[in-house]
Amino acid sequence: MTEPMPVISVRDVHVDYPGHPPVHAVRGVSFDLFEGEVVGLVGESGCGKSTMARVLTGLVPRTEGEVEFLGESVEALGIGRRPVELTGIQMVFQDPGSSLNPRRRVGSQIMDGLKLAAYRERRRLAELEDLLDDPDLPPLLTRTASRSLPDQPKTPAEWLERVGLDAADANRYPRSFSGGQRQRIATARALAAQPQVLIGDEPISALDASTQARVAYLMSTLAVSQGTALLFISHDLSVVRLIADRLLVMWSGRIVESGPTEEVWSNPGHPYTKSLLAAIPAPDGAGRLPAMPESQADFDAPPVIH
Amino acid sequence: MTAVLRIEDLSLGIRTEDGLRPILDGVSLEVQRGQVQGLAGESGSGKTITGLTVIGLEPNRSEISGHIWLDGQDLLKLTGSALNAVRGAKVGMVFQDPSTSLHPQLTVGSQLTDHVRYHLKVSKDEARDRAVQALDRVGVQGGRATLARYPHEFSGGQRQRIAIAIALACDPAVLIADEPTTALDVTVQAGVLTLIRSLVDSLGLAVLFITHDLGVMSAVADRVAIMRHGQIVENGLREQVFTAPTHAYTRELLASLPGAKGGLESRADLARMFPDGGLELASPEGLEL
Amino acid sequence: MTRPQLTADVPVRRSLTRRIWRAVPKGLRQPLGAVALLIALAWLVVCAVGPQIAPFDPLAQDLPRLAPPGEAGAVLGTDELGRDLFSRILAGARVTIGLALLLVCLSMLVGSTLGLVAGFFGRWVDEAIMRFTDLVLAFPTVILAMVTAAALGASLFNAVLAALVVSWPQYARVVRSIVLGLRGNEFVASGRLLGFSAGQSIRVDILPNVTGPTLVMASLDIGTAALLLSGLSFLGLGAKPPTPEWGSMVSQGVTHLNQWWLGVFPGLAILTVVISFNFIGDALRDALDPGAEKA
Repeated sequence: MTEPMPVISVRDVHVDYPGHPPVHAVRGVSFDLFEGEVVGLVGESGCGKSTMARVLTGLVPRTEGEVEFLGESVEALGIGRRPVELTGIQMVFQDPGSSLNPRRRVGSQIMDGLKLAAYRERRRLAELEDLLDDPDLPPLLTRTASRSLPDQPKTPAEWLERVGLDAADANRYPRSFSGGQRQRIATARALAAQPQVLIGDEPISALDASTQARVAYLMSTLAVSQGTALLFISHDLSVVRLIADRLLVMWSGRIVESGPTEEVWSNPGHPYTKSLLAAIPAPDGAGRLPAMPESQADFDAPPVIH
Repeated sequence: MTAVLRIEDLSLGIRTEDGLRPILDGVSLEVQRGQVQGLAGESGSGKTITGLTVIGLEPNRSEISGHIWLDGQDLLKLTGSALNAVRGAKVGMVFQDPSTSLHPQLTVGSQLTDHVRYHLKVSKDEARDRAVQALDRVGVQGGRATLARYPHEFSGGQRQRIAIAIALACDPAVLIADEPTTALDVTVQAGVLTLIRSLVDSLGLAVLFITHDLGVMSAVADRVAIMRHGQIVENGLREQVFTAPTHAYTRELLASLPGAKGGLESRADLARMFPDGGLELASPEGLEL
Repeated sequence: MTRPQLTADVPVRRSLTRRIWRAVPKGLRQPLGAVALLIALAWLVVCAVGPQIAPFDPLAQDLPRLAPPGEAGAVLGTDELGRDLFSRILAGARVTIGLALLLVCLSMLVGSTLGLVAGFFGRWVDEAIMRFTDLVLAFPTVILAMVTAAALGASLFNAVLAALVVSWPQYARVVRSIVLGLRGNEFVASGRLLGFSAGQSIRVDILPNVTGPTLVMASLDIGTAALLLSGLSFLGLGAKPPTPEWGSMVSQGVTHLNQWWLGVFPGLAILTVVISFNFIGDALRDALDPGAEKA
């Protein structure tokens, strides 16, 4: 059996924001994302995790390095329409207050995703027809592949039901939904496009604690069920570890530790990961104050790969 | 032990076009000297309004009943200058986001001394001495030189420490902390929580600690009150509330949290807790999306 | 114990009249606002049927000259040519208010389009448009309008063009800043990720969120526009005699200070229009402000 091909491969990406002095938000990040897996990208504010999300979608240009989506280089989004080959990467954003257009019914917003999926499917069929003339398999085939699985919802109403809302909600406006419901709708919108990759950029951090785990779990089960790779970005390791297969820990623009979730959680190797884990207060009633990091001096240690 | 701050049967409604909208319904709480009384709840439960009402910052068009006792005075009966004399001097308040609760155009020194001079009628020099002491107490180094600096020159964690110093500059008996660590990173949060706990233990401060984060609550509170829909559904010692909650709502809240007793520990727990994949909207006890 | 959920809206059955009443913006339900609304509506009716309901022909010069109000059947008196002032004010409503509306529509169209393009595309497009806007704004409004009107030649249409030259920049600036704010919104980014073209993004995600505030601004601007046009006519750069236009009527009144009615009544007409549309604009702004209804 051949080695599985990553859907997204990130190689030595650097991002500088212009300014005086320029801010080095990301300094040399590399990782792969495979089909159907859930990867947690965790770190604290300013570590570059959100910048990474925006680089993967092309919303922010990278200064150096390479990002490939199924063999296609991901370039920064300009004024023009996003290349259809790259629409297989979708994103759910942080702020439930602005992740949906307040002046459009939610059904029509989910429809955007469905339309994109249909367009990608038509493109795929057209390419298949071209194949009859061309004996060599063009790589485009995989990029626009729409995974129209048999049990996928076909209408906004079905998608709403898929994320636990009412079919009749399609006619309502975003303001009549709670934060958690809006994030479900945003997830439905993104997944309706049948992407190969879904990026969640702190999608649960604005929600009440009791709903965070539930929304995160819903996102991961839906993504996995349609074979979509999920990159779940969060500062809250305690929720991410529940859904992620693998963890990437970022600090100061670099990945300082990576590996299977259970190993990173129970056996952290990097000094930063250790202090991050020690600082999480557990709701166990023990009255234990979380530990403060002694110093940041040893955070520059080489990355730990499990 | 006597309570420094006693909230008695506090109810609050906001007048709207459709009549009175209830926000708080018979809230009773006591905060003792040297103790952290936690007040936890989800957004919209009324925990923040409770804190604001104590210092007389209730929302506009409010109708309030009940009592808030501090030093034998009912704060709800105070108005104007009598209320001002209590605010800042006898009750300090720390808010969620230090980048907006501190005035960006004033030096740390003037924010630390202005209200001290107003309340305690001390000289400028004495106020500055007190300010340096206050900064020292919260672990912000640099002495008098620090007073001339502006909030933006400090990190988020340091700003919150400065906000705490300002709240404590007049030696109030009570500190109300409304989500004081929510805007901070966990590693920074650990330091601020440790600071608050040590201030309580060393100064005998009484703290009403408001947060949605039960992990934080478990780390710092002595007693924990759980609030929902404007009512306190459970109030007890920390260990009892976290390990043997009496109210079904508390049990369900804890069960939905990673790291709690009986809470979520793995993906398998998630699958057991949400057999439908997380679809169902509301549980019987009203935890909802 | 069950309790109603506190944050949810409790559905209350209301009578139909009450529901209609509640649909009226709050600001207009106050006595002053209601009066303003009535005055504005009355003026719009006058615009439509003014000349038909006028007691005299507004151009006919067959009454005694400079008759004070009440004499010779002229309710508001007559001017130096023996024309009925009341009839001229009714007929002039169409000219003054009509042109003010036209002016506001045109400047909204021109200004918003430029502001939208500048805000959405940014970079050099933004630079070019906004520097040009600043250039126009750098001139004193009335003087620039006067110069333009004088250069184009005195006529009502040219007065509108001249007023347009000075009144579009404020729309451009406001719309640009709204668009800049919207562009940072996550739903706009998410639309782009779903393959929206720039045009689609503007049409679907930007425009619907810009129209509300822009309309409010326009309604607040109607009074100012009427004032500016009247001002140009007052200076002899707008309506030519014998067209009944309120500004030029006030201007005639200035030369007859002893015959106070000549200036006061057209002046009052302008005043009521300006104030009533301002009230409506304020009420609209409150009604459309999403933060206003949150308690």
